[in-house]
Amino acid sequence: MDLKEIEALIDLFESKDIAELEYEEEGRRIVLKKAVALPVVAPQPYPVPAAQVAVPQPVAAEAEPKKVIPSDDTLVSVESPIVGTFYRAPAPDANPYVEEGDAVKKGQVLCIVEAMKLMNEIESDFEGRIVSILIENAQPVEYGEPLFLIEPE
Amino acid sequence: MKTSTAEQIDLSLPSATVIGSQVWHYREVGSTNDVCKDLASAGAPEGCCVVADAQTGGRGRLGRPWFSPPGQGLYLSCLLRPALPPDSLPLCTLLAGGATARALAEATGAAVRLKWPNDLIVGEKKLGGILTELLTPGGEPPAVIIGIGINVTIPLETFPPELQTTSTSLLAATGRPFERPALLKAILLELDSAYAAFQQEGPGAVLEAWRVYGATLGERVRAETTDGTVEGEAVGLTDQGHLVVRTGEGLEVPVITGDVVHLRGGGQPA
Repeated sequence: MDLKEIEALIDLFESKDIAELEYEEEGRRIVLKKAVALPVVAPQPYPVPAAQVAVPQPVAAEAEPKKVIPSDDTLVSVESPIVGTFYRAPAPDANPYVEEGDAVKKGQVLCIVEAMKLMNEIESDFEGRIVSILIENAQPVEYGEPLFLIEPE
Repeated sequence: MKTSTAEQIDLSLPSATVIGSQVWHYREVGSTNDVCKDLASAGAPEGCCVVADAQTGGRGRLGRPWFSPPGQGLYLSCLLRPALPPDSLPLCTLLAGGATARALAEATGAAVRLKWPNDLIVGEKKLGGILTELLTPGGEPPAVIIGIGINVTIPLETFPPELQTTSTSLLAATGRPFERPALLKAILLELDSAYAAFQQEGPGAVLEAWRVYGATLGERVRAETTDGTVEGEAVGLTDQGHLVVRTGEGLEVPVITGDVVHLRGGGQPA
């Protein structure tokens, strides 16, 4: 198996959705492994006073990677000013403030972030269109975390 | 939403008092917070307050209605414009809780305590609630609207059936009627001094004042959060005021939002 064949094998391996490939021929063995994306663990910003206390394990739902933010200069993001919980609607049974694809005006309310019964209505600083809503309803958000991508007009 | 015309009222507060520098009284509004937000957007100064005899659309967390019968409750909203970083502003909710609990306890003698973050309770029954709204318009300093609803002279039997076992009023708790203007004045003065302490001394002053009336620490609690239920002992507050719950497995979980139930007291979230 020459270098070209190995290259072809790597290309093939890269193009397929498989994590590991083992290939053996005439006593030579090639093992290809992809770096597995580790679950994203939210930082633990709280001091844990007792030394023996275990850190809460992230549940599977939290480990899913968040939506990738495209590095597109034409889009602007709206970020959370506080640590809290993200709500897309003013009440659990109410319609969401906005959907993806909606046109929004400057000053229009996009969502609420709540911390300790402080409700922060987040307004759009731009006139434009909602390209992407980056957080699921009722999920925790960090300080400065992007919530929406907007294509300004 | 019906909003009556406003008249400015003079409570004879000391001239250095920031909160209550203007107090606008309405007979009836949808929600004092909504009126106060409109005033904030129109450029009202820090300390501007809205008080109403009745609310037709009084509300609490997550759009829950707040029972606001005419003349029997105190419905108040105060506008702050704190020169503090936005991420420290959620502490205003603990500040409002601590100040209101102190004002009511001292003015009425009722055994007012706080259920985290700022439910005003007597025993395990809800005497009042506080809903704070933060406005962060782009490029402008943030505005904080503290909305406070207190059940003053509401007879227990006139609460809606679903609230009768979980609510109380100052009248029901003490057997005595109280005048709303005196309570309003007491609350504004306590809010003002708590706000001054927050700005001069920082978050520690807010947490310390909250602990004096806080009933949650040391209790077995259940916190219903959007991430699920956390049950255990409430063991402390973080520097940001989040409630730390130690679960049966020994995990210490910070709770940032959610309904907290004191399990020994058997109270219900409200």
